[in-house]
This record gives sequence, structure tokens and C-alpha cells, in this order.
Amino acid sequence: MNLQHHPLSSRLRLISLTMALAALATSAFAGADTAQSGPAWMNAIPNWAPSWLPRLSGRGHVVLVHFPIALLVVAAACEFWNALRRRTDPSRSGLTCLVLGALAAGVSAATGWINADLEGARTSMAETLSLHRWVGVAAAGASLLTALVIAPLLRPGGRGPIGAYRACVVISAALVGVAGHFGGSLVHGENYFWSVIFPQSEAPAASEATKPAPWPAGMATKPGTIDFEKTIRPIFETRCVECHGPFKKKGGLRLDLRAGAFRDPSTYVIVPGKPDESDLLHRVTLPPSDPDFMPDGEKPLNPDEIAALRTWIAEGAYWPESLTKVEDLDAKQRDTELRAATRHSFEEAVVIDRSTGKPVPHPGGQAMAAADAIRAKRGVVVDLGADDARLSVDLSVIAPPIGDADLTLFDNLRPTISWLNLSRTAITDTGLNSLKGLPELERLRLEWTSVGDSGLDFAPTCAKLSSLNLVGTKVTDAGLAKLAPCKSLRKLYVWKTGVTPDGIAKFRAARPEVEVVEGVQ
Amino acid sequence: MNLFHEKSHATTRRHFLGKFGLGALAFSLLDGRAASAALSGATSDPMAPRAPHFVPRAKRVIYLHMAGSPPQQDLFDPKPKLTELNGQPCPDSFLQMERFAFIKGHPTILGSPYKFAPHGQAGITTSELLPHFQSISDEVTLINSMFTDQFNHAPAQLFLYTGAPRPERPSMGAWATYGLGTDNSDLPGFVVLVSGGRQPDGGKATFGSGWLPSVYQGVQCRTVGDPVLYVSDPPGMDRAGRRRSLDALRDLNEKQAAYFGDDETLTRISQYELAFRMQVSVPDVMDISKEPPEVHEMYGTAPGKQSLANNCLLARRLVERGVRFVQIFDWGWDIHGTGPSDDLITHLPNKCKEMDRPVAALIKDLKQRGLLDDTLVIFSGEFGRTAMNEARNGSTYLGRDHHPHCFSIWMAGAGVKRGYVHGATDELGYRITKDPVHIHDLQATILHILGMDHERLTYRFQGRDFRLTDVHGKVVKALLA
Repeated sequence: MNLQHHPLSSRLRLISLTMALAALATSAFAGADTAQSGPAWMNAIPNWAPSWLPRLSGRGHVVLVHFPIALLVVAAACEFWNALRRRTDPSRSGLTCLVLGALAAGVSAATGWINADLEGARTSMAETLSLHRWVGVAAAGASLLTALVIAPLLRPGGRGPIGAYRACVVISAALVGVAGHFGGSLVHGENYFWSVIFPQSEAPAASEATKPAPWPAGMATKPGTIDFEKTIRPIFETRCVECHGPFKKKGGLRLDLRAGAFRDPSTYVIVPGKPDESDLLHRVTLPPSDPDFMPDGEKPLNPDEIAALRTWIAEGAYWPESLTKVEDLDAKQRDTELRAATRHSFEEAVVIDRSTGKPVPHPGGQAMAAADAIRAKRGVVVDLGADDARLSVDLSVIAPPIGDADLTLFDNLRPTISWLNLSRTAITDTGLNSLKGLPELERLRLEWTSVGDSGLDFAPTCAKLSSLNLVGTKVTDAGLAKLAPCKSLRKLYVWKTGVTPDGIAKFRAARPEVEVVEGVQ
Repeated sequence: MNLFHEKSHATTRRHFLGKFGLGALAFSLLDGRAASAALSGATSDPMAPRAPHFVPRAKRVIYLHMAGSPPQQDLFDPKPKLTELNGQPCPDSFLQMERFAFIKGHPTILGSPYKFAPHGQAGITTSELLPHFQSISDEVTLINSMFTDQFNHAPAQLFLYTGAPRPERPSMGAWATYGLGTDNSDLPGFVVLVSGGRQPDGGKATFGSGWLPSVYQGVQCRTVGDPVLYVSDPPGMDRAGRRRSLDALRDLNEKQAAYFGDDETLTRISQYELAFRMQVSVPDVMDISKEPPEVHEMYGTAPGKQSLANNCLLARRLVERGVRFVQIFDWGWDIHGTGPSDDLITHLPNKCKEMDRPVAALIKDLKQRGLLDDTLVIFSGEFGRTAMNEARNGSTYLGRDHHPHCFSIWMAGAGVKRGYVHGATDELGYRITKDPVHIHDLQATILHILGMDHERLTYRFQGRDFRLTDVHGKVVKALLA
């Protein structure tokens, strides 16, 4: 054996030929009948083989594929270097790389086929998978052809088809590169690399991500009989999120986040109130042999879980954004989700006007802007709770104190303001007019302001006002009398005001259910 | 929010590239991007107000801790049987399987030397040592069936505030600000006030942030001298100069944060900014001399002194301005009876005099200002005291040893019942006979009142999701209004 004189040793040739034939036979066999739902080649596996063998060898693909990529690219680089130096004989290192790379390509193609049949055939990225499959097979074929047919024709001293050889090596390397790209896309998603180098190419995705999670049409605004966190989320997390979660997002669907589950209304994954129109429920109830069955390749959900999902969807698919369970997201997305969960959800709140029974028009981005304007002044706008989109607004912490003009700040938040703190601000009776008709206002703090009797006209127009703090204001008995018609009022604070014991006694007689706190005079 | 993960995400690429030297081009490309990613954490203020899990009953907490632990038999849980059996050897069953901190031999029963009477409409029976408390007893929920796992001060305090008897975990106030942020960005979200001349035995870990980002730790304010140490400018430094130096420091810190991605750097940036605002806001809020005389009369305050009274008044001023959690510690309740400075006859009445008036004033003041509507006040020690006289080394002064099996605490304000007594102990006040409330149950209930599910308020550290209540705790629904 003299490699000096012959580029390909006969022992190497023998080994490579045997393995290549085996690989080709396997891949041809495997590819023979993939149209059916279960790969037919499974039947040919001898009984003595352990049951995990096919899947293990299939998963070996993701390890093996790195060899042909590196080896064939190095082979091409070696030949390129030789061509630059105007050498007419093949690079010996390149040849070794080519042979090993071709072998690895053959085995990779075979295992890849097995893997695709067993695990990926019904992936959402079917088109990419198909491209990956056929370009990969072409790469394996081209490299084996080059190694086994063209390379042996080369002769020492620069004789033989060196040009054709080089071209074939380069084509093989290119093909394996393209196949690798599609493979990478399958695993890591599209734009895995470009998004790093060209941030702007990420732009559509980013703007989509920073959009607040929409409150899906028709979703219930209050919990039903099924506790989402205790019943539904665990089903998603144990049975779905492995593939539809932060790491894989198959079909673009994520079931770990509300925004991910309701991302695209045209997919009908979950249609609130309509279990029979919800694709999610449809798929989990299919027979496991159906290509659309979910969880793909796993055992079906148990009847209790299916029943819970059905009830949950029927009751409006109430899905509260979680405050703390966001740790699995990548940093940027987590930040976005956190904002969506803690800052923006009020924007999508559906508020029903009690008088008309119709939803109050969506305040949309104006509400966002209003909230941000208040926050920019270090005021507080926050949802009452993650499961309740009414707002708690605190303008008392703004320095210097705000005046009447600043009350326009919350104009666009009017439909949902529930707790409002205006204490120690510079507002006056005129300013209080802007509180007229706040539909959800429950608790109002006006203590230590210069508010007087004439400012209290707004109170009876706020149908839900239940707690009013007038401590340290100029309100007198006349003002107190104005509050008597406030039907929902339950607590009233009048310490340090002009209100007299007589006035309080009269008020108590009219409204015995209201707790009037006078304090230590 | 998980700053830990944010950190690991921000670190890898830059460190890999930095260490393997892929060249200036790649580095500059990626470094610019990474900087913006890391600073997105800086722009999302860790103290920004956040919505709780569900609509809260209280937005704020004042926790009054009587460090050392007052004797429940002499204040809140009358036991006539003890008086009847005073001086007799305690039942043997009290000593079986029992360890005491100091009691040795066979101790004798110690009846309370103080008279009890029912007060208010609810008729809650309290001791003559608490004349002012009588006037607020209709506002409180008294729990006579608290119990804990720990019988020494430091571990019991840590257990109460962090859920574990060892220092390491975040305290209750840190969990509250981690979950909810704070409303007033010019003041710390979690303020600690100490009186009685001594820090709590559990040390600063009782109000620390544990492994939460340190932005959530309690800020201790002093009532004598500068409220917060080192926050005022030194002579010769004007405010503009301070601003410029802080800006320069912030630029450097932002570079540091972008490079190392350590959330503690972000904490530091925001703490410097807070300190700058506090230079104005804190002296203002901490200056109680501006309060009118009737307020001082009501609380029994004396400006410029370190006292529980001053701290009670400060607590009201702080919650009025939107501080999330005010933690008060008052040392001196460790009534062992080793001498006149810690006995039942001389020392306890003195401590009660210092405590009773301002604490009752605090509740009344919060009430008349409407603040009790969204503020929860809790009053407790870290454990109870024995039904037996300690008589350490033959001391002739009366006193009680540490007792974890039952003690009394009370709560008032948002979310809890008014004029309600929860649980009961046996006739010698040694063990609980009805509705026991464990420390973890108390923690779960406090978080619940703040609108948070104690099982969902978690922080991942060393591979585990930690909670204030560890793996225990049940919300005590009976306490809720």
C-alpha cells in the first residue's frame, strides 16, 4: 500500500465501498414506503433488535451530520488551495476528508431518513424537511460518487480527470452545506444566524413580539369553573409544551403563553366558547393513528384531561397572564411577556357598559400612551390583579403635585379606572368634573386637597363608588348631603373637614349602611 | 421576572467571543447588540409597580415586631388556671420530649400578676398592661393559636420573615416588593425601623433580600441623625456636582453591565438613582417635627429620639406616601426574669407603656386617615413564652422562658376581620386546642391579603423554585374579612 503513489489505498477503498453500499441500501429501503403513516421498513427489523434501536439510530442523525459538513468542506478547501497553487494532483488530506465525509454523508442520510419517519414526518415545517431530505440525499450521492467513482480514476503525476474531481468535490461540499442549512432551520428555526448579524432582518418578529398580547376575541374576562393554573396549564406543560413551547414552537404554536396560543386567530387552535371549532380539542380527540393526532407520537390525553379542556374552552378559555411563570423564555421575550402581563393587559380589557350592556369601545393604543405618560411622571398605573384588568391609578406620588390640567392624563383610561388616588395633589373642585361618570371607579382618595362641596357633584354619577376619602378637605355638611344619593357608597372618611356631628348624624340616618369615619377631632 | 436567567442569557455570547478572541469586528458587532439586551433590564425598573395575581385586599404592610417576644399570658391570652396553680410544680407532661432555652429542673407554674377584662363591642379580653389597646380591640383580629418550629430568637425571627431558620432566603418585605414593586419611586419600597437599642437577633437577614436581587432588601432608616447613613452630600458637594458624578458613574456601570451582564450592577445603578432622589425625599418624610402637637400627643412621640413611638408615626408617614412594606423591630420583650431589667413585674409594664400608646395611636390614625382600608398591620413576637417561671440560676425575679407551641399575635386593617379572636389554647396556655396557625400559614395569609398566591410567587435559585412558605402554608380563610 503506497499512498505516495496511489491517492486511495485499496483497504480504504474496500471499507468505504462496503459501508457506502450498506448506507445506500438502508436509505433506499427506508425511503421505499414513506407515504404511509407508519414506515413499512419497521416490519423488517429483526425481532432480536431492541425496540429503542430505530429511534436511537434515528436520533444519531443529529450527531453524525456534523461530520460530512466539516469533512466535505475541508476537502473542498484543500482542493481549492491546490488549484490556487496550480497543482495538478489532488490534495492527500483533501482526499482522506472526502472519503470519510462521503461515508459520513451516506450514514447521515440513512439515519436522517429514519429520524424523519419516526419523529419529524408530520412537523409543521414539512417543506423545509422535504428540502433537507432531498438535498441531503443528493449531497450523500454526490460525495459518494466523487469518492468511489471519480477519485479512483486519478493517477499520480497529475493525470486523470482532476478538473471534474475538483468540481465534484466543490458541488458535494455545497450540497452538504445547503442540506445542513435546512437541517439547522428545522432545529433552531429560520434566521438563526442572520438575525444575529443583521438585527433589522429580525424586525418583523420583534415588532410582533413587542405588540402587547391581544386579549383574544371572545375570551372570558373572569375565571370559569376550571382553574386554569391548576388544571389546564399543567396539561399543556406536561403534554404539549415540549414541542409547542419556548424551544420548539412547532407550527408557530406555543402553549406556554397566552400570546403564543392565540397568536393567529385564523388557525382556530382555541376558539373561546366553541370547543367543537377548536383545533386543539379536535386533534387530541382523534385516533392516535391519524396523522393530525396530538400529542404526536405520544399516548393520548386521558378522558379527564380532555373533558377539562372542553369545559375550559366552552366557558370562554379564560387564560390569565401569569406574573411569575415566565422564566423559560429568552431574555427579550421574557421582558416583553412581563410587560404584557404586568403593564399592558388592561389595554385589551373588555369592559361592558352596564347601562347599555354593550362593550365599551376599545381604548387601544391611546390607553397605552396615557399609562406611559403617567408613568413618565412617576405616577402609578397597574392592573388591580393579573386576572382583573381594572386599574389602580395613583397620582399622589407625583412630584411636584399635579393640578387640574394634569387630570387629562387619565382621559384615555376612563373605562377601567377602579382605584384612584389623588390625595395631596393640587386639584380643585373644577378638576373633579373630569371624574364624572367613571364607570368602574370604586375607591377614591381625595384627602388633603383643597376640594370643597361644589366639587362633589361627580360622586352620584360614579355608579360603583364605594369608598371615598375626604380627610383634610373643605367639604361641609352641604357636601355630605350631596353624597346621600351615592347608592354603592359604603365607607366615607370625613376627619378634619368642615363636616359637623349634626351633618354626620343626618347622613347616617339617611344612609345607615355607610360607615362614616370621623376620627379623633 | 427572572433576573437569574436574564444574566445567563446575556453572558454567554460575549464571554465566549471575548475569551476566544474572534476579532474586533465580530466583537464590536455583537457587543453593541448585547449591550442593548442587557440594558433592557435596566430600563425595566425592578421596583416598577406590578399587578398582583388577583385583586388585593391590602396594598401595604406595617409589621410591628416585638423582638424578644412578649408573654401572651400577660397580655392577650388570659389563663385564670395559671393564677390558681401559681407556684406549684408544672405537670410532668409539660417536660416530656421538651427542650427549653434556659429552664432547668422541674419549673413551677407562673400565673399572670395582671388583671384581664373584656373590652369594646367584641369583648376581646386583654390585660391591664394595655389600656390603649382596649380602644382599638374592635379593629383587630387576635390570633391566640400561633405556633412556630423554633425556640431561639435568631432562628425563630428568620423563620418568621424568611420561611427558613437559617440566613440565606429573602425576607417577607423583599418578597412583597419583588412581587409588587413599589408605588413611590422616590422612596425605598421596603423600609426598616429599629428601636429598643438593639438590632433583631436574626440580624439583617430578617429584612434582607437573600438570593433575590439586592434591590429588594429592606432599607434601614434611623430616627437619630441622618435618616439613611451616607445619603446626604458631604460639605463642598453641591447637588449639580453630585448629579454629574452620578451620571459619569452610571455610564461606567452601564458599560460594566453590558460586558458582564450582572444584575447586581443594574441594581447598583438604580440604587444610586434612588439614593439621589432620597436625598430630598427621605429627610422630608423622616422629619416628624412638622407634625402638629396633637399628633405627638397621640403617639407620645419626641422628635430626635430613637423610640417605637417615633417609628410608629414614621410608619404612618411612609405608608401614606406609598411605601410598600414597613418593618418595625422593637427590642426588649425577652421577659426571662433574670433581673429587674427583664422581669415581669418591673420591665414588662415599662415596655408596655412604651408600646401601647403609639401602637394604638397608629391604628387609630391610620383609620381616621382612611389608610387602614388598604394597609395591613401585624403585631407579633417570634414565639411565645412558657407558662412556667424560668427562675434561671435561682433568680427571684419572675419571668418566662421561650415557648414555640403557642403564642398570640394580632392583625388589623385591610383584609382581616374586626373584633375577632381566632384559635384557643388549653387552660394552662401550654398547647393549642383549636385552629392552630403555623408561621407558614401566616406568611401565606399575608401574601394572600396582598393579592398574591404564595404558591405562585416563586424565584428560581440553584435549580429550584423557592417560595416564602417553602413547601408549606395554607391561607387562613377564617381571618379574612
